[in-house]
Amino acid sequence: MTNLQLEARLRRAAGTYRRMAPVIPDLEPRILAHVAMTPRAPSRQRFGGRSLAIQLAATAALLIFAIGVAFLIRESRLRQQPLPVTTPIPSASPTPPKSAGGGGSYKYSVFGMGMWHPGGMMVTPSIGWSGGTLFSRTTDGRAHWTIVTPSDLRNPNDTLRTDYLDATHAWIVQDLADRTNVLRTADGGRTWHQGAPIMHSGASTIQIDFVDPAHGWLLTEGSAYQAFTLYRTTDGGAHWQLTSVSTTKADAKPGTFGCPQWCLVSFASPTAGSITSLNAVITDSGMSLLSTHDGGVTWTRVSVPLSASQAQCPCFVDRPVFLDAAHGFLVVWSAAGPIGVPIIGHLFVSADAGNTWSARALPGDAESDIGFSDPLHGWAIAASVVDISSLDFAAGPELPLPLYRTDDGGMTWVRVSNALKLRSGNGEIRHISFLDQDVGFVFSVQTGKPQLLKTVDGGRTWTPAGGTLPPAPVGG
Amino acid sequence: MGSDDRSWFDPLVRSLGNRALRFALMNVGDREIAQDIVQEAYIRCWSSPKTPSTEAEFLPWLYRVIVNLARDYHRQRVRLSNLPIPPILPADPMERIERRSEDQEVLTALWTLNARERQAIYLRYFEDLSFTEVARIIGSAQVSVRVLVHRALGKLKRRLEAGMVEEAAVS
Repeated sequence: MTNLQLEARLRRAAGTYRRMAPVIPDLEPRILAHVAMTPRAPSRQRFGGRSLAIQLAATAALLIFAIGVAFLIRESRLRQQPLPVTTPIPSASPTPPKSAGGGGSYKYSVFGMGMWHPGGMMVTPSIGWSGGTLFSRTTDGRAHWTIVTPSDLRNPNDTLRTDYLDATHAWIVQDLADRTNVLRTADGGRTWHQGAPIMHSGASTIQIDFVDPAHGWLLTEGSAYQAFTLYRTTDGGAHWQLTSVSTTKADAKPGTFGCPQWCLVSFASPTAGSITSLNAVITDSGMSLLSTHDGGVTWTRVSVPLSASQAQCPCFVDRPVFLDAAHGFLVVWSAAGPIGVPIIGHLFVSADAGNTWSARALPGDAESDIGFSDPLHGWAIAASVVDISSLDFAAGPELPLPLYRTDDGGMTWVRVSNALKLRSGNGEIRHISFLDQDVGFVFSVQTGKPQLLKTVDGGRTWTPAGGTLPPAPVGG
Repeated sequence: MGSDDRSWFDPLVRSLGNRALRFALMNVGDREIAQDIVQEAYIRCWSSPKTPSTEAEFLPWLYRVIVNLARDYHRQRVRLSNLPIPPILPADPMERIERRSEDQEVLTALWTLNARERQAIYLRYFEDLSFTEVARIIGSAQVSVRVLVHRALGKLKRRLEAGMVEEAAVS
């Protein structure tokens, strides 16, 4: 059964479900009766409420703040060219190098549920970003978050993609019906500059990926299902060039890449990168992914040493994570087994920007979440349960989560004897990342609320990181 | 529009109530619980001043609240019991016979997914929402929803193919 056949079956089953699902005739009057008894919170506190003095003080403070901002803007304009958008935020710390600033974090972790955890992503112990419609940033270790999305883009219904490179460089992608706009900041979101639009006919952005402040790529899916286009910039997003498009043909020519569906892109340097298809095809002779050495124009197949007999497929391949211009890691997951059989992860590492891949063992025999701080040092949570993403549902509240560490690039893994253990009671573990050999974070969600656990001793002890949550893009 | 003016809200209850019920039912598998969740979701939407008032914007908002309430329900349930979540079992014996049909097989297989995967599959294929819309509702990045859906399809495929093998063996 192909994915397309399965998708067709699901759509047919939707009709049956609609017919089979109960219709409750008095549902609406019951809801409306309850709603009628529920007061609606006013949209804004009226002036002169319970604490007039506090409101007056707040108004005065805002006025002083606004005057200060206006003064700063004026001063800034006197010294440099006009800026398109200005968002006042606290000053940033110096930009750390990518390798030390969380560049090795597993941003698109399969089980991490995405790069934008509701708790935000830290690039240094004090500076972090939180994505989505309300792109926000902290400079004080999550004590406060400042929304850096330009005010005219703060519509919760806007579709925005956001990405960061380090403490100061970040991008916002806005997909419109006939064009995609990319905004860039080099000062932590204080000012944004919009580049030339990418014109299209109904494409949506899947990924934006930068390896340095100048070189980046944008992968879009067109209005035609699973038709992908890759764009490249060499000036930080001011201008974009069409680099290659996806094809279903096996012999991809320059300007095309043979990724028929579910494509993800990842770059190690301005020239070297990889394209993977989540829909892994693994035969007895192994599997392959696409590699480029000219910035994304020409793509060739490189093999990954994993055979069908080793992997219980169907499997899927996450995008490679490059830790620097040469080193990266790649995880292939067995997509599903019979119920009760754990999902298996297969780890591969590269030391030549994805040109060759070597197998490394993962600790335990079950699915893991993985984070590397540099090519040698990595951590993995391995849990012998069916599904780490639903641990708290299936396994009770206090199942210990074994944490392993490697100091030799995944050759050997040693269990970390942590005094304060990670456990399923910490919530649904969605992401593990390390800034260096000592400082790391685990993001989890407990009873619907995201929380961040922090270690400063390489994973031996974990404590709540404290601070506040970034603004949520969608309420509820 | 005054804060107690329900002229915009009541039509949203009428037009989306049973659709929301189907989504809640797919989340919790119990009609009574689903009904309670939908009722509570509407009350929360009403009481929040941030709730959007147009249907296109209201639906993802309502679904997001249902997702959160369903999650809370599952967590409370785990504290009480470790029983697995039951699939929807039709009361009618004839309907049970129909289980052998292809669609019923697919619907049953959905309950082998975890809650998040089931939500993503439902919104993508039962509601025909885009990956972007699904991502907004379940609170993930779009690329993660693609991974989630792909992974869930893999599980379903495996499950359905195993079922076909079992059926062939029985017959």
